[in-house]
Amino acid sequence: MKQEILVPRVNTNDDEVELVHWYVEDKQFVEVGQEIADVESSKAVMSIESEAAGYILTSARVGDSIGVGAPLATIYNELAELEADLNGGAAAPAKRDRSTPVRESTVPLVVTNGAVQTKLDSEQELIDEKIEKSQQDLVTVAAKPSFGFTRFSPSAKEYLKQHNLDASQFEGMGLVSVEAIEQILGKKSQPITPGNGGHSATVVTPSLSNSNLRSEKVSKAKQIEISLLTAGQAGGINSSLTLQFNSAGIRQTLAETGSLNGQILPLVLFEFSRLLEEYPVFNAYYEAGRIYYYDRIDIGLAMDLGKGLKVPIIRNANFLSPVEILETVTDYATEYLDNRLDPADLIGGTVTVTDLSNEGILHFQPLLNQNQSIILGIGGDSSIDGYPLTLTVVFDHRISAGREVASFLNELKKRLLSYALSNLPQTQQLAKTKNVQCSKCSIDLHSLYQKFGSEALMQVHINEQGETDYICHVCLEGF
Amino acid sequence: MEISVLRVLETPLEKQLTPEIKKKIIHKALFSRCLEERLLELYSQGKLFGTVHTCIGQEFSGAVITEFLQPGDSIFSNHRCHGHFLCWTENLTGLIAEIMGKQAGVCSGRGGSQHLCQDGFYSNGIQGGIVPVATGLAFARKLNSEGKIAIVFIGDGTLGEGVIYEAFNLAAKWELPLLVVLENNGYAQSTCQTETLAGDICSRAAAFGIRTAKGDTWNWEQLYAIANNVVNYVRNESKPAFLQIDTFRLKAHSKGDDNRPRSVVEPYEQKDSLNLLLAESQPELIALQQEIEHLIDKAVAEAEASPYPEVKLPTTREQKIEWQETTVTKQRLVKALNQTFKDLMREHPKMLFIGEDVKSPYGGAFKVAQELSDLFAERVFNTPISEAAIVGLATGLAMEGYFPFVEIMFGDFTTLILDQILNHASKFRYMYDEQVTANAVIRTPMGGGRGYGPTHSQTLDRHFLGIPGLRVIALNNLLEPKPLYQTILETSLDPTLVIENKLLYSQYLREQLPEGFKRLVSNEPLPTVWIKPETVAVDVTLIGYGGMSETLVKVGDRLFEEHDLIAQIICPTQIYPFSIKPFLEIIAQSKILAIVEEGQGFAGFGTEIVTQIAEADPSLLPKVTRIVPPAISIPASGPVETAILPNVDKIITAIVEKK
Ligand SMILES: Cc1ncc(C[n+]2csc(CCOP(=O)(O)OP(=O)(O)O)c2C)c(N)n1
Ligand SMILES: [Mg+2]
Repeated sequence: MKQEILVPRVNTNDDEVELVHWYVEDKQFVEVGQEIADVESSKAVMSIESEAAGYILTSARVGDSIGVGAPLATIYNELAELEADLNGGAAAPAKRDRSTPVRESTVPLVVTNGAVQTKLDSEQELIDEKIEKSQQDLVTVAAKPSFGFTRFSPSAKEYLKQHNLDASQFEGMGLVSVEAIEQILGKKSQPITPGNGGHSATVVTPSLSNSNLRSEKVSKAKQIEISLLTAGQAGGINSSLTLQFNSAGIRQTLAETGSLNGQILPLVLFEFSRLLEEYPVFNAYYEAGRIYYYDRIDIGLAMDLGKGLKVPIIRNANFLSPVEILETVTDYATEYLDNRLDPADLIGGTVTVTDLSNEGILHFQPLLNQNQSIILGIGGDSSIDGYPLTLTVVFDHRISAGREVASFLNELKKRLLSYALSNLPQTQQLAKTKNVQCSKCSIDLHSLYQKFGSEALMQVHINEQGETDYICHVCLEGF
Repeated sequence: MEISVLRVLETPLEKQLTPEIKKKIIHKALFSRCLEERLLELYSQGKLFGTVHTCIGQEFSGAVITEFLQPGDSIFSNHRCHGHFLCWTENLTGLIAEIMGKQAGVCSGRGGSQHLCQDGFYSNGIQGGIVPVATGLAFARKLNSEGKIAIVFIGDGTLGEGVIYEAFNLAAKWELPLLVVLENNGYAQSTCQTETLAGDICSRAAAFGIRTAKGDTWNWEQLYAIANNVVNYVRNESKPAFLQIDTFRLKAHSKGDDNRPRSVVEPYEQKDSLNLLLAESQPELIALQQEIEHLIDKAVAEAEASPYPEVKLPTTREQKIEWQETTVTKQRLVKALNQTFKDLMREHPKMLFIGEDVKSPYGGAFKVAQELSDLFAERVFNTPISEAAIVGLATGLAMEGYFPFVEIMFGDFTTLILDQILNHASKFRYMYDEQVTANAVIRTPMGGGRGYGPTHSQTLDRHFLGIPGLRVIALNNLLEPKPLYQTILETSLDPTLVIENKLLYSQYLREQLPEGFKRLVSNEPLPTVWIKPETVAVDVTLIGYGGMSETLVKVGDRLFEEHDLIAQIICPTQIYPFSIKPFLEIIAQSKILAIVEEGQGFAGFGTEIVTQIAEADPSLLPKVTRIVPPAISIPASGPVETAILPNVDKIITAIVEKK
């Protein structure tokens, strides 16, 4: 007994999908409902679950385009039967050769959302060919929309306002409804602000949108280095540095002052975003011999609360207080769990942070996102004395060097540790309970809470004189 | 001078009936008799399809009449047509094979016993319906003025069909060279004439001013003279005539369904001319009979040897649709149509314009024909109120190579032309095995919105969809009408029904579309319009045609402004035959499919679309809505009418509900 698992229709537009990931290997035993593969349509990546339990034999490879309704894998009751098929049985599912397209696309790429995905690697040519064909078939459909005008629906205008979106992004997009905005962003987000944790093969036509970013040419010597590195690493020229320190002190402060629900992450994001202002090269990306500097700090926060990886964007993070960051993160988490994340919130990150410290992962190396130059990984292990915390920065070597990253990390560590009461002199530690008062506006802790409720934050720091001092969140502009 | 000739002709001219001609007539009659007796045999052997209506006992009718016909004349006949056919064509094998359903049949087995066609011979199994067609052909003959005529055989039972009187009226009024031969055998199927016929037969024709004459098959030599006289009259004077031939059918109506008592039939058997001749046992006649039997043997063998025809299906052109942007010039549709017909009539000397009240100064109820009769006096015809007859007339004209355009004043009256379209014009090319074309164009305004009430406001195109051989076109205000009519005129082999929406007449061709919408037209001969929003996200596909075009464009604009929905519009011009398949890719781009129809929805165009999509790709169907009027007649009262017909608001509401 065997059962084929067919490629389902993911959406009405696509007659074929691309296989982007196998979760299983041939001959592995899979359960009903177990995720076996991810496929990508023009609109979304979708997981395929096994419809049967048994031993799996895959019929396609990652990168294959598979027609809807075509077999993806076969589930066998008996391993023996699988092996019989595999060893040249007539019914053996033909492994498709990557070089030959699975199926000639009968439906031309009718470009519904305008943006045809561009792919970075060698498949580019194949796709170009397809687009050309579709253009012949459907003379009037352009591969890339530029309609030469923009007409927003009233709802779309409202949406732009609400989401603080720049209308100029939609220049030339013709009729723009809310749906259109979401499609354009979902599809074309990478060019503007990539690195939203999307699939790595899917990227980027940056030319249009990054034109307004400040850029500077990479030096000749660096370019030679890059080309060598590129050859060696096929594009991803990434390194990483990690720094470890104990976080118990910081956590204790947060717990005792009742700040940030005792969470350290908002604090890290807060300091990270402010420090980035001093390191613009980490809020930038490399492309074709140039470094493009983002004009804003939008931190993508990788989240996986059990429903797949999502990277909502904390916009203009460097202008938010720790409490505001906490609130943003909490909102996103709620939306994530309710499946309510607004697609517009998932695009446009300029840098990414991923936090596994609550998972008991002390150290890991996150993957750098497209069109970003660093990603910060936060690890931690509460079971170890002092609750060690690691900060790992994976960075694009084409843009920055290890020394810069090291100084960045050390500065970040210093700023974070400044929150730890244990680092304060004993007397100063006690002082906090006596007369906690903002060193700038002189508001006391009690009044601050009266006035701002849960938004209130009085921060402890060491002033230039080396003394403990307090500053309220209102006066706080970062260090 | 002509008159004196006629006077001479009026008196029986038995002397003209030479022994050779007599022999020929007897030969033809005997041929018919022997053939039909053989057909009855073959029938009982199960070798024939359908039924056979024999003319046994009536043979001298066809045998005599055909004596006066010339090549180039036409004969129309009915269900009892074998004798007529054989006397005219002498094509024994073609006839037998046809009834056997064989490839060697005159219509390759498509027509069968009642639908024969060869060399200007046409028969059809619908009582009376062919008479207007014969009238049209006679009209063509008159216009050709080559002295050719048309003859139509009908039975006495068919005197009950109204359409023949419409045709008689036209033929008489327009002085058309049409001879109506009424074979009066006293019965219609099982019904004796005394039960159903009022008044006098010839008086009916005479009432129209048609010359009438009477003869019978027992005195066939006298019939010869009478027929001679009548045919000459029709030919020479170009006027219709009506010839009543009394006769008797000796065998069953068809197969074995004779309920007449022997006492009625037997006397006729005894006085039957052929029976009497055969009873004489003249060696010459016996030899002739043997020769005929031999020929029939041969023909039957040939017919049996012929294969059954292959099933030939129409080649559906599943060609790839290509789209091109286009524009129209702002102009009221009625003006554009009027100009179209002025141009086309100038360009096509065989184009005729036929309808009620179409001549100047009236120019048609909706003024589409304005000034046409001033410009083309001899090609524009005001007709009596005889919708069926003028469509039949157009069919006959088209068969003869004319381009008749018939205007039916209100689409509601198309119910009266259904038989002419469905059982005649649309059938001819196929059932006569491509021997004729009948590209008559029937135009009619449909639609409500003017307060004309239940019988003058309907959109009835639904009743004409799905008739093989009939093309149904709905004009809209997104395309110029001239190229459409030009295509219809120049490319058609079959009849075309063109629906023009009443409200559109006074509206402008849509030159300007709302911002962001493009007008694309397909490369089909009669293009589909795709109003394509220039956007990356289409929400709704609107499908509608005809008068809905203007409405849908407005819907598209308002959906965007008021509901943040981006709609595309598919507006087909040809609504039958129609396949949605070429448009599936386009439809697939949207989430909601809304089909808007002004006519009743039940079993309509939208139903067909949905079914076709379901068959092709059901995943495209999750959100479908049809916006159609409720199942009631269209009231006259303006506000109530507005409330039931689809309009911009209602369409929008239905779509928003689907969202
Ligand atoms: C419109 C129509 N109604 C009814 C019939 C069924 N039908 C076929 S023949 C016939 C009788 C016709 O009588 P008549 O016109 O006297 O011709 P006959 O059969 O006597 O030659 C009838 C009722 C038909 N073919 N067409
Ligand atoms: Mg009769």
